[in-house]
Order: sequence, then structure tokens, then C-alpha cells
Amino acid sequence: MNSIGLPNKGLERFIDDDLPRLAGLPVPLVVSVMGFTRDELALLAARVGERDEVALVELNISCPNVETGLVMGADPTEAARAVERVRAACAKPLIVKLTPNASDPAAVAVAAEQAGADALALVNTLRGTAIDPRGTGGAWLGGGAGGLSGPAVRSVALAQVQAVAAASRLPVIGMGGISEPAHALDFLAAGARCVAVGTASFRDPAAAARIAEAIGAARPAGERIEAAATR
Amino acid sequence: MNVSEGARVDEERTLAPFGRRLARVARSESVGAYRVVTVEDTRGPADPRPGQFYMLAAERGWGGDDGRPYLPRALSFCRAAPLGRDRGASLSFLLDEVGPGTRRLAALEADEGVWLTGPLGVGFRRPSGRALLVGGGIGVAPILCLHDELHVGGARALLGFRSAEHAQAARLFSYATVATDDGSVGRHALVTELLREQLDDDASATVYACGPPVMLEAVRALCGERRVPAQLALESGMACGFGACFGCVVATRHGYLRLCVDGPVLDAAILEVGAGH
Repeated sequence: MNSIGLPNKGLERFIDDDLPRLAGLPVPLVVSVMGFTRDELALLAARVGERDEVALVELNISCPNVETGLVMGADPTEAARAVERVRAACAKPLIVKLTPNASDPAAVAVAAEQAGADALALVNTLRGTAIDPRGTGGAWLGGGAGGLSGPAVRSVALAQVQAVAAASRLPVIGMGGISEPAHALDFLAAGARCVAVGTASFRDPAAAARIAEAIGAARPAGERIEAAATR
Repeated sequence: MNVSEGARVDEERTLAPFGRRLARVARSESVGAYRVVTVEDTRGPADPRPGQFYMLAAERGWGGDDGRPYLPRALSFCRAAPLGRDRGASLSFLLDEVGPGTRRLAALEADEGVWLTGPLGVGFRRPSGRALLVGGGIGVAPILCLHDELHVGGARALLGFRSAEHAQAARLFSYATVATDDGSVGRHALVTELLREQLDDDASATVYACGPPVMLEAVRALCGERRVPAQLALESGMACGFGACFGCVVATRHGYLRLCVDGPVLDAAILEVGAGH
């Protein structure tokens, strides 16, 4: 569980400092953007989307819209308005990253598809909290609550991937607790076109490469995502 | 390809091979309240820098009844000895059982497997001139290997512990001055009082310190006041250890720095007051 948020250098320093170095990697770059208003999202997507180094843009809609108070990804109408706005500002293929903290993620997925998304990625972390084990009764996480990831979320993620893949025609990037080749195959069987490995990479930096090799994914993962997103 | 933020490669940083590797436990022994676990890292570098750290996870039994621990644990090595030509190093880790991860690592027995990633981060710069080493509790770990390195020069080690049982870790040092919180061994004082006396005596020194946050803050304040340069090894929980998660940031005069790639050893002068968590 973490309550780290999305620390970063800001748009200008990302473009000036990070992007040139990342562009040297032998994979297509996916840049994930997140903001607290639709204007912010559109600005970020436009600025990174216009860069030649960037192959795809991911829109993280797990955050609250400070203008409406609604979590963008928890409500189909709110999600559609965010995606429409970003779609108009960004010519690159657009992945919408869905939150599992929605009553009907498949409805949000369909709304994102109709608003112009090219691919869907799920799940983001599940909302969770922890009480200080030192007996103070207070929160253990700096942010009060946080996001749960790793093995504990895998079955939830698998069910949501299955529901979203059934409801939408868009390619789905499935993730949530994948740490072994068998887990990746489960997500592909549930309807995902690609899979991603997050938390397990903290335990073993080579986890994603090991899993890809074991399931016979011959091409680099980034290339397959690109192919899926532009299909 | 290395895309780490900590792009500078220098004398304080020995680079880790990519990924994790399995190492064998050579032995595990009790030292008072602590355990010292020694592993043979035959596929890692022979010369990690004192102050650098490794991410450790037991090969078996990692993930107990409630699933914890899942992620590896960040530990500074307390001793490193080359195993011979291109055969890596024997690495020792000082452990205090404070949770499910350190509990499992402290229970490791000879011949068990340990997953290792490292060495990571930036260690202590090699001292020139008079060095004062200050360690508190489990924080004596990186001070021990620095002390080993400086032994010929006779750097003074000042160690503070909470009790006689913990103070047995001072046995690992060839020579050290000990203070305990309860006065059961050595001086009945805080280790920072020993440091103050040393600096009163001769303020021309560089201080190298590792210990709990309150101790490091006191060392920072004291060295700042006396204009004595100090390198502090800070501690933080870490999910990854290689710059991805941002779980270990500290506030400095240059903005937030990640202890895993920009530290854990930082110049005291760049820390904000009370930044050591």
C-alpha cells in the first residue's frame, strides 16, 4: 500500500530533462498524464503528445476533478468529458487508465471508448488504509489513506479486466498483482491484449522481462502495446 | 541501459548489476540484541562503498500469514570482504528485528538463499584528515565498514546504544567509545555528548554518522554550529531501492532528494532542519 501520489518534476522539466534520456531507450514511450482539472489534462496531453519521442499518451483519470468534486474515473459522464477534452488536444493514440474504485468500471470504459479513447488500461490501485501498528489508533500512511497493489488485488483486477474486455471493443492492457507468467496468462485469457507488471518490478527489477520471456512474448512489450493501440 | 536519475558515477558509488540474484547464507550469529547475517554474493561487485545498501528478501518464507513481507528490505552492509578474483564479496548485514521482514531475515540459517539487489545508492566519501565516526543503535552498521577501512588511520568511533544488550554490537569494532542511554555500559550519556566533547577538544575533523533521526538531527545541528563538515547516512523504508517509487524522499536545500539514488549518505549542510524523518 502506498500514499506517495505522483511526484514529478513538472511538465517543463520532464520535457527538458527526462524525455531526451528516455528517448534513448529501445522501446516506444508511453507518457502517463494526470491533472486536477480538464484544462490541466488537456494541456499536459497536448504538450507531451506533440513530441516525436512520445508514441502513446496515457490519461490517468483516477484523480478527483477539483471543479466538480467527482473522481473522473468513477463516473461515466465525468470520464467521457475528460476524454473528449483530451482527445481534441492530442493526436497520439490515447490509453485511458481506469480506476477500480468505481461501481461500474465497464460503464466508464464504454464511456471512454465513445469519447475517443484508443485503448484501456486497468487496474489502478484499490483504495485502502492502515492503522498505525504502534497502537496510536491513527493513520499509518502519510496521506491518511492510500492505494493497494501487489498480489492482494489480482483477483479483483482480473474480474474487472474481464468485465471491461467484454463491454468494450478497445484493446485492454491488464494489470494488478501480476508477478508470475501464469498470472499474465490469466489476464490474457480474461480478455486483455497486453499485460503490465508494476509492484513485482520493485521486488525483482527484471520481473517483466522474465514473464515476457516465459510466456513467449517474442516482441518487446512496448511494441505490442503500440500495435494493439493502433489496430 | 542505465536510466537511473543518479547518473553521476563516482568514487562513492559502486554500480549494481541489473536485476536480483540469489546468494547463499554463509552464517548467522547473535551479537547481543542483534543478528549478523553473512551472505556470499558471488555475482555482485567485490567493492561496495561503505554506506551503500542492498535490497534483501529471503528465498523461502518471504510472505508470512498475512502476506507480509512482500517487497525486499533495504539494509546497509556492515562488512564486505572480497571473495577472490571476480568472485564477488562476502557481505555482512546487522539486523534488528523490528517487523516481519527483519524478523524473517534474522531467522535465516546457513545455506538458505537470499535475493539481493545492489549495491545501491551513494556511500561515504573516502575521508582524508581526522575522521570522527558516530553510530547509534542499528545505525552502527555502515559505520563499522567505514571504521574497518580507516583502521590504519585510527579513526575514532563513538557509539551509542539503548542498553547493555544492544551495546554488545560494539564488540564488532576494533576500538570504540561507547555510551548507553541507561548507563549500563560505557558512559551514561547520549553519543552526541561524546561528539560534542571531541569537537571541543579539536574541531578540525569530518564527522560520519548514522543512527536514529533524533541523533542525526542533533549531529547535524552540532556540526552546523561548529562549522564541521558532516556526512550523514539517513534511513528510510524503501519499496524499490532504485529510484522508481519516490518513497524515501527527504527535503534538502536542493529540493526533495531520493535517499536510494541521491543518498543514503548526504552532506549535513544540504539538509533542511529536521529533515531526517
